[in-house]
Amino acid sequence: MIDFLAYLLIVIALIFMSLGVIGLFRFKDFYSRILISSKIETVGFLTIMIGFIILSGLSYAAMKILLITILVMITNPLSTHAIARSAFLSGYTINQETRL
Amino acid sequence: MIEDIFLITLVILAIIALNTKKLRRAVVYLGVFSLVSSFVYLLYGAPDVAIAEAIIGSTITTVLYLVALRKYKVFSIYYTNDSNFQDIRLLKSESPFLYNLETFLVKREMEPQIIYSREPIETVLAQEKFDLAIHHTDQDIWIYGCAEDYQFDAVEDYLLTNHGDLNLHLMRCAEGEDNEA
Amino acid sequence: MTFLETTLFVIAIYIVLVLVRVILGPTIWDRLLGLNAISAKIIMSIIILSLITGQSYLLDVALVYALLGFISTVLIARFIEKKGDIS
Repeated sequence: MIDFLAYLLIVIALIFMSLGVIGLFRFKDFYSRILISSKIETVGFLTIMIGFIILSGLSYAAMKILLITILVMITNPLSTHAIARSAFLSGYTINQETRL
Repeated sequence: MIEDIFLITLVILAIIALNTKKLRRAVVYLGVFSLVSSFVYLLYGAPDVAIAEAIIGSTITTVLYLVALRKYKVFSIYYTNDSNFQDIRLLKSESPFLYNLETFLVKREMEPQIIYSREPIETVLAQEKFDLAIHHTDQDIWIYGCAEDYQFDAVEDYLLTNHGDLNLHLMRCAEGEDNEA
Repeated sequence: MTFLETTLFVIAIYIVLVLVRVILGPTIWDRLLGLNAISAKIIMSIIILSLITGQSYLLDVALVYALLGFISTVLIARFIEKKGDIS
């Protein structure tokens, strides 16, 4: 029963990540792509990690996975922010007419 | 099956990293290459080699390549415009002058980095450290460069032979005044 | 194939799809975005591999990755930013 919950969470995370990958090809300019990709990737990462923690039970490995999850939840938005800031400071602007 | 996917990915990344024209793209491709190759080491059961590959390949070589690129070859071009800003690719397709200049610099093994500035040209000339500054009005194109830069001589020859129909004004600044920020 | 092996296969397919964006991407920042996404997916793959084989020391490699991928992405982004300064 508890394994079934973990499998359900992993499948939901895979669906989230597939939406993020579709968004990388669907949108036409860079700022839309970085918005959709970073948000969906972070949510998918959190969901799939909760699934793995449930799957591995109460053990030493589960604590390590929890530590990795916390680290990635801190560093992933920071690196996304660094990329977007770099693009903005270099003067990348989008054209108003072709924006979706 | 999974090993096949990652090994084919490695071969494709290696070929592409060798064939790019710009060196910054090659740095990014090599970062992805070392990530995937480290996972392949894990698949074959060598976690210690994977940790070494992650530290050396993914971080230290990236930093070393970036430091070497900064010391050597980055040629920064400031571009200001009177009209409103547009997309970079759209701007390049509208004015083939800029695209040709970039292709010429790549052919001379430089690393052109075009910066689209919102500030007026006087602020850019006073404050920024540039190798080439271009001010594009409706009719005229003003190009500012350093007086003792030998690359600027080559750029001047190229522009006067290939784009003589545009209204080009080439200005030379003295060394130490504007170019040393 | 068990459930976890199927998950690893699907994530490998996602990595290949993001790699297409890295290769095609018109600007350098698209490539960096793809590098960031591939880094997160590799961390997931390492954890799945650790769960499949039951060797919990593979998680240390994932921990190293979570810190070092961040550093390389931020350094490349800062380098491209304006004039090529790294500081």
